[in-house]
Parts: sequence; C-alpha cells; structure tokens
Amino acid sequence: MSAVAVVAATTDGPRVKRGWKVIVGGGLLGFLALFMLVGPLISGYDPNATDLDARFAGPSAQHWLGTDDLGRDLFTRMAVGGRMTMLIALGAVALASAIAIPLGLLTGYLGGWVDLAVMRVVDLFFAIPTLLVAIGIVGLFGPSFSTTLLALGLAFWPFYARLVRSAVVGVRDLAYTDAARVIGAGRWRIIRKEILPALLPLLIVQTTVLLGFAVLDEAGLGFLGLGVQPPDASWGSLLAQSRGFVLSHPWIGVIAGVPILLVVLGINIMADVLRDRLDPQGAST
Amino acid sequence: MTEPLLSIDRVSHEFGARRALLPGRRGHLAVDDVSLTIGAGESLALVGESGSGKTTLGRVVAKLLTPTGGTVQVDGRDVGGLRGRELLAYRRTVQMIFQNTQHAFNPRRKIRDILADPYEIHRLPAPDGRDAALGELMERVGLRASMLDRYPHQFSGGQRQRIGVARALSLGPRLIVADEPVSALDVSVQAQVLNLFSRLRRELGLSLLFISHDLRAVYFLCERIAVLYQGRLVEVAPRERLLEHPLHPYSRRLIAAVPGLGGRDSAEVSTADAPAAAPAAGGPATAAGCHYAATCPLHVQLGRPDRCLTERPALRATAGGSAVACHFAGDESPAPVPSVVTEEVR
Repeated sequence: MSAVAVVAATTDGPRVKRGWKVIVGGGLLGFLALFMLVGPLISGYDPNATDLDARFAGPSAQHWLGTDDLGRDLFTRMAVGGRMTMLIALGAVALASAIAIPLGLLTGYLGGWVDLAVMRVVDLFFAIPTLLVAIGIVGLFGPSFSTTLLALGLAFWPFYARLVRSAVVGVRDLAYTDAARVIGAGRWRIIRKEILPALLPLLIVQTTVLLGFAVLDEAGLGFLGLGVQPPDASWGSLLAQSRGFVLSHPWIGVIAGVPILLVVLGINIMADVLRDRLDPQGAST
Repeated sequence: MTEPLLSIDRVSHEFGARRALLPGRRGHLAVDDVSLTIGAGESLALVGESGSGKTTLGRVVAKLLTPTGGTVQVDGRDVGGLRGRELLAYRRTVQMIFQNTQHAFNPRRKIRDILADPYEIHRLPAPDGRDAALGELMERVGLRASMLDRYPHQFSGGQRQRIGVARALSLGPRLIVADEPVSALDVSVQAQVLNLFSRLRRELGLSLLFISHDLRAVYFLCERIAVLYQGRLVEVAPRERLLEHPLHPYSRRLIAAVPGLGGRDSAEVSTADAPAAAPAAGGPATAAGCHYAATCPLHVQLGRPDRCLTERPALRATAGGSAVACHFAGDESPAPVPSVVTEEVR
C-alpha cells in the first residue's frame, strides 16, 4: 500500500511540480506582457504629461498606481518603462549571444591559440564585476537607451562564451563527431549538424537566465542614473527617481521595484521549466 | 607479393608532443615506430592489452590523428598531406567502425539522416533515389528499411553496430578499420556481427584492420595477427602460426591468458605465466632496450642479458612466416611447424 503510494508520488512528482511552475511562471510573464502592451491604452494618460495639481497622488480610481513628483501617471509610466526595459534586456541578450555563441563554438572546437587568446580576454572580463564593465562602457559613450543595451551586451558575452566553449569541448570528443569526420564531414558541417543541436537546450536555458540578469542590471544601471534618461522611462530610471521620495512617499519605490522582482521571478521559473523539458537527465550540460 | 593496399611505414604517434618541447615535460609515445602492411582483401588483426597503442594506430590509419612520425600509404601513395577533394577520396577508400555504439551516433538525428550524410558530403549517385539506396544499405547489413526513421537509442547495441557497418559501407571502401567492434556487445550478439563482417568480406572483397583484444574473434576473422606491446610491434604472424607457435614471450603470455587457446601448450608457457608486474605508469623510462624486459620470463631464463636492456630489438623474420621483435625468441624453439593457414589471401 505505502509502496504503491511512494511509487505514484515519485512518478507524479516532477510532472505536478512542472505544471505548477508553468502556470506561475507563464502567468507572471503573460500578465506583465499584457500590462506593458495594452496598459497605456487603457489608462488613457500620456506617460510624459505632467499635472502639478496631482503630485504624489496615491493609488486611486483616476491614477491606479498613483502619480510621481510631477504628477505623471505611474501606471502608464511603468507600462511604457517596462517596454523599454524589456527591449534593452532582449537586445543586450541578443548582442551577447551573437558574440558569445560563435566565439564559444570556434574556441571550443578549434582549440589551440585561438582558444587561448579568446579565453585570456574572457579571464580579463571575469576579473571585473559585470556591472562595473557596463558602467565603464556607459561612461565612454554617455547614458542612453542604446548605450545601456550595448553596455549590458558587452558585459555579458564573456561569461556566456566560456559556457558555450566548455559545452562544445564536452561534445567535440564524443565518438559521433569522430564518426562524422571519418565520413568526410568538414569542420562547419560538424559544428552545424553535430555540435550545435547538442547545445541547443543549454543555449535556450542560458539565454532565458541571462534575460533575467539583463532586467536586473538594467535596473541597476538606471538606479545609478546611468540608464535611460528622463523624461523617458524605464524600470531602472523609475526606481532611481523613487529614491528621492523613499521616506515621504515610499509606495513609489514599491511600485517601481515589484514588477522587476516579478519579471525576474517569472523568467527564472520559465528557465527552470525549459531546463526540465529540454534536458530530462539534467546531466548533459 | 603484389603491392599492398595499405602500408604503415615507421609510424609513431606521441600525445602531447608539442608540449613535450617545453623543458620538464614529456609526451606519451602511444605508437612507437610501427610498420605493417595490409594486402587487398586481407584481414589483419591488431591485438594487445589496453594502452598498447592499437586504437591510436587505427585512428592514424583512419586519419583521425596525424602521426608525429612516419607515413601511411595507400596504393603506394603517402596520404599524410591530403586535403579537400583528395581527402574525401581517401575517406571513400578507408572507413572506420567504432567500439562504443552508444556514442557513435548523434542521438538527436534519425538513422535516415545519419546514413544520408555520406551521400550528401560525397554526392554519391543514387540511381533509384536516395530512399531506395538507404533501404538497400540497411538490408545489406541485415536490418529493415522501415527502421530508417528511428533514432539510435531505439536500437540494440548489435543493431547499432550494424548501422555503423552500413554507414561505413555506403562509401564503398576498400579497407575498414574496425576498432573493437564487438567488445561492447553481448556474446550472443558478437557472433552475429562477426558473421556479418565475414560475409561482407567475402562478398565485397574488403580489407580489414581489426582491432581487438579478443583472440577468439581475431582467430575467426583474420588471416594475420600483429601483436602490440606498449606502442611497439612485437610480433606479426599468420593466424595459426601465432596462436600455435607464438615466439615473443609477450605473445605467449597473451595467448596463454585465453583459456581455450592457451591450454594446448600450457607446459611451454607456464613460465610465461609467471606473475607479471603491470607496466610502470607513464611507460618505460627509456627508449633503449626492450620494453618487455622488466617482466620477461625469457630474460630471466637467459640470465638477464644486458642486450635486452640496452639495445632495442628489431623486427626480424623467422622461419614459418613470423616476424618477431626479440633478440632471443625463436632460437630455442623446435623445428618450425608448417602453417596450416595459407600465408596470404590475395
């Protein structure tokens, strides 16, 4: 009786857990996406329109999430800022992937001095905290939307490239790549047909995880005043603004911070789900 | 003898050779000055314990490794510097079959795609369409065309090894390097795969470089046997000759270790069966002398002659068709017994 229960529990366990994760993670991301896309339409406010009579209005029927120091509608600003933050995050991850994946494949597969040279550069980046690299790049070009994207992309690639490289090394020496060579497959064909498909689960999961970091680091840069500049809004810059009123009007900080938490949570849960789905053994990476 | 299909000429391979240029580091000499030939349609076995360099030599022949010394020739032509089109032509001449059937196939690709690779890469003609060609290939190795849309993990080890044979055969090679093709299989399945090899050799006139530590499989399939010890060729002889009349003390020990085979002249090999220390890790310290001297019963019997420690034994031909790399082996043996096996199949 109890044995049956145990068996049932162990076979059902992962599936139940996974279902729960999909609902929570997908729900969070879906809800936030909806908020960003249609939020400004249903609120009816211009995100940059000021209304000095309604400064620091708390949440109400007119301003669902209240207003800031210039009376701008926070609901609308958060939705529009979310778009900006997500664009930066997606762009930064795309940039990092575009650099890291080819570089990781090349260094991992070819080895030799190419590997040595690139990995020393990666080591150099590793010696400096990610955010510091990003700050340096922002300092070089001045804060803006595109600089933030560039800064985060350039700060992320070394970590990602090393990950891809080590995964390639693991696959490169398997017998089936030897078999492909014996059949006469060239280097590019082997990378395309044998190695890349094996890395796909890892790449999908890592890209998702990186997205979460990108949202966080955008907020970090914005908080330091190095992100998107006013009057444009991003979650990071909204959080930075809220800092001035954290004692008098603390809810503004809460409103600016909670969506960041939720989106990162949602992304990480989905990354978990993807890892479970794509890599049942959890051992190939 | 006519010109051999494949000749391995003084091939050496040292792992980490480049690193060994730095002071204080030494590479590992996996294959040490080995010369062998394989005639057209001939089947040669490479035997020896693990670490003896037999797999390395097989990979050199399949051009998965570039040897650090020596040359490999096919039809008298050095294949060392082949590139592009010529390398592809070499791939069509020499194919390889791998030991581990679990890892020899990309688990994410269907058998159809895996077997289609050679057709795509070499633009092989398929007069009745590729599907027909792939189906025929499957049937030639005893599988069904309907299995083409399965993934590798849906096959048993023996079936996968058949697919490995099919993949190699698709290019119509003249020589197949088989690296322990049956040692990972169940005994009952081993026989089937060995029979497949034997049939294909008969039907297609294939040459075979059969790498194995299983002397029974070797006896079944191969006409000549080459024994490797720590990267060096110690003896090469026709099958019957080697199994019934091994000359090198190491060959004797190897054969004595197989119950059914060693039994017949157990008296002769009993000394060879003396406790043999495992070879020192990292290989012998010096290239001079005989690698086997430290554990060689003959060396002891002869009162530890210095020659074994200072002079590397060269491979020398003896009566009866054997060639042996030992200063003393064969001198004390009785009159050679005429070999039962024909020397070579042409």
